[in-house]
Amino acid sequence: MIAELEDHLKRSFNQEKLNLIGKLIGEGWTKDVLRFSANVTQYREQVNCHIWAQFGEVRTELAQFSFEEFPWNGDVLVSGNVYVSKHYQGYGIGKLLNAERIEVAKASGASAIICTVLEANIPERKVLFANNWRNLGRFKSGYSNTLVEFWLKELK
Amino acid sequence: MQYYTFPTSCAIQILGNFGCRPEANADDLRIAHRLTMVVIGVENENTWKEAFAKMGLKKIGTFNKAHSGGERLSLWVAGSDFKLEPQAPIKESK
Repeated sequence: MIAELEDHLKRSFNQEKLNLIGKLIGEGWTKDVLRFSANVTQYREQVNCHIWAQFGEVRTELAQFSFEEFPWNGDVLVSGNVYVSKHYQGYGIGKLLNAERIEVAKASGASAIICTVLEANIPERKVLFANNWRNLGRFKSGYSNTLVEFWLKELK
Repeated sequence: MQYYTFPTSCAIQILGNFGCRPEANADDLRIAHRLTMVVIGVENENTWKEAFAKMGLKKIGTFNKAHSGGERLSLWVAGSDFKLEPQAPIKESK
């Protein structure tokens, strides 16, 4: 999936020399990776996945996401901290990144991913809908006074 | 019974470690209702559905447990603020 994302960006930015760099960042450690799904499985703590785009000497952060095991039930992963840098928004990266998250979760042996998303976050809700996540319901958070939705992706 | 704050929203508490008598946790659950917006748990559907229903939890989703030969897991929620409404339309705000 990273290779697909790389090709997608090369076409979008007309930059043949673009390379993607992946890093897994846990508590007190960092690891360079080429594919997230091959590496994230061995960690049971929260893992943050960062992707940078390298154009020649210039490296900029492209996107990030994180996973955390659902407490008391390793069959479920909680996805969060999903972010695409402003410079790269609008190029379909969110959808590809979501597909990468699904592959990572599948490779880890999980049965499902759950996440929360603000109802006002239209781009992320569109991505979840496009990748066949299920909207389970919503509630008004008394902390932030915002509507929050629950989404689930079953990993078949 | 134990609680854990949901990683991406402090308005949600995850509950687990029910022990062998889930109905004994009803008082704890009522307290959790008052402190937070939503309480959720994930458990085997067949083992826990009656106990969770007695505790006032609602089932909001079910999925297959991977590599298990058909075992089902369910996501349960408690909280009067939680609405099982059809998905709100995804529209760009003007």
